[in-house]
Amino acid sequence: MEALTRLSRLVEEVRTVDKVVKVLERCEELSVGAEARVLRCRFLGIDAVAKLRLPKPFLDPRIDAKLRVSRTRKEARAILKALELGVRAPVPLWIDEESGLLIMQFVEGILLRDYVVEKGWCDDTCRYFEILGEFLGKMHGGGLVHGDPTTSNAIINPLGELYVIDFGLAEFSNALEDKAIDVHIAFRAIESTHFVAEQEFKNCFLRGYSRTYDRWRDVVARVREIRTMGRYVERRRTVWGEDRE
Amino acid sequence: MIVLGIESTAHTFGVGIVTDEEERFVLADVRVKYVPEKGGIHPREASRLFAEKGPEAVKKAFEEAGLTIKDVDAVAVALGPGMGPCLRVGATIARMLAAYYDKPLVPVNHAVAHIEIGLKVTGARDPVVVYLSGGNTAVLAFVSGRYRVFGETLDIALGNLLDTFAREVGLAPPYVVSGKHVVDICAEKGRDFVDLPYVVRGQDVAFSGLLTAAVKMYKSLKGREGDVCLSLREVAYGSVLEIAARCLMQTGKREVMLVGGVAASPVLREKLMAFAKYYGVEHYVVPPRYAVDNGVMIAWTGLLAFKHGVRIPVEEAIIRQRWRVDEVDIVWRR
Repeated sequence: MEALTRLSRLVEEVRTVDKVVKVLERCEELSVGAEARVLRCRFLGIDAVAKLRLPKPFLDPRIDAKLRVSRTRKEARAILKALELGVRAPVPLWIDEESGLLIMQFVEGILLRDYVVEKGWCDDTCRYFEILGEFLGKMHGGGLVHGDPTTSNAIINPLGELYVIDFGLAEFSNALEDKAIDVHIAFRAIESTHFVAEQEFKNCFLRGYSRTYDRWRDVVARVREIRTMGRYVERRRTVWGEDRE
Repeated sequence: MIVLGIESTAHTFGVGIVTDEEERFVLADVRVKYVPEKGGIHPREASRLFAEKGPEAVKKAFEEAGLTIKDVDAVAVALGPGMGPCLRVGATIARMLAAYYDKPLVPVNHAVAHIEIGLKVTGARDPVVVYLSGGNTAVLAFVSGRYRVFGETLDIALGNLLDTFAREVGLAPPYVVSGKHVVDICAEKGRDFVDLPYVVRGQDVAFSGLLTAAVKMYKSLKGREGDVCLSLREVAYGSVLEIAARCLMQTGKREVMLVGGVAASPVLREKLMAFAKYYGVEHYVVPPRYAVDNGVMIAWTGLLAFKHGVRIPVEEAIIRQRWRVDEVDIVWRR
């Protein structure tokens, strides 16, 4: 009850970034990402992550404000949806859209990216790609796309459980196109960062994805089409079908 | 070592001669530019001009350098990516020079050349590369021997977006007036922001929806044309910088470099400066002279490659319109 009273008092205080930082205790910066500052803090006694989307001087202030509000809001809603669909993700604890603040559960562990880079191709890394695929399949089945499902956005906790993080670019969508772009992004991360066993990792991922999403074949077909849209690919689809110039 | 390079991927037929023996590395820089009377580049018209003026440009380059073909160690040529008819002219001339005068022929990827000349003239060492031109929009970084694509456009290029918009609403041609793009000039009159689709998907951008929406809005919002130009530009530049930021984070690089024809935009330079300050990295912008297509960049990249043993038999030197930048092993950078 006391916590609730304190929370309601915080509502007013949580209006500016400065004040937010005051109600969060013992903060340490985890990262300055492309989009936000990520802090690890005590929030009402809970080990938490505070994600702050700060104004960017190189963007038009109006676009910037609009993006900040909509992404903060969407991120919280997307995480809740993912949790509902059986995907492990950090539980949201607090949100203030105007100041671009989202506070959520802290997930201890290492990035899947670092884990894979260190261990290379083995059964364990394959299994994690499979789980990542399963999670993405669950999201897609529930009309949620992650927006950036790379190995930098997955954490393995000390119990060996995989968490999906950073729903900042997530969308509620049932469009095949959006789902295919999700898979395309996952593949591209594999190609740019985990090229040691590109095809193997992709197969592991697809094994999990096809298990949890029944329209996976359609998605994969669409991914192939999207890839031929990239600039100057060797094989590009023309009105006559697949063609090689 | 002295290398001659030929560029003919799109609107410019360029011949460059470079050396690595002197501080002043450019010995010759001749350019023939195709300017369409209306609309965009017509590959046949451009290639016709190249075929007509190309041999003369080569001759002029030798005169400028005070050299003859005998002084040249190798001939480099941009075999792609680009427009087929245009590429064929440069490739034909390069193959002829190599075969007739018995000079090694060096294949150069046009996009790699934009990056290499950028590194050479700006002094950047290992940057995240933002490559923006009429035909390209990509964010690249050197990882494990290649310039890898971290993000790119899923449909049209940034330069293409701005040019097509300008043409559709009657602002162009000409596309650039006294160093400024007509969309930037139009944006100077803008004050309010109109709602246009901002599309960033993971590390990629997409502009075709933005183009359609902006053209429609420009035509329907009489008196607010400046607002549409401003919003279009801000959304387009903003989304590209956003994917550049993602690449910075993912690679941990400490520099960012802008290359390609759109690098000449003063507005974009300013934004890049603010961007670099925000993320605490160094920023570099290729000067306009070398940001646009030219022969020097092909010659310089050819020189780097040739020194590391890259060459191609004349009979195998076929053009590749869709030669991706990440297919090229950058053997001179390890």
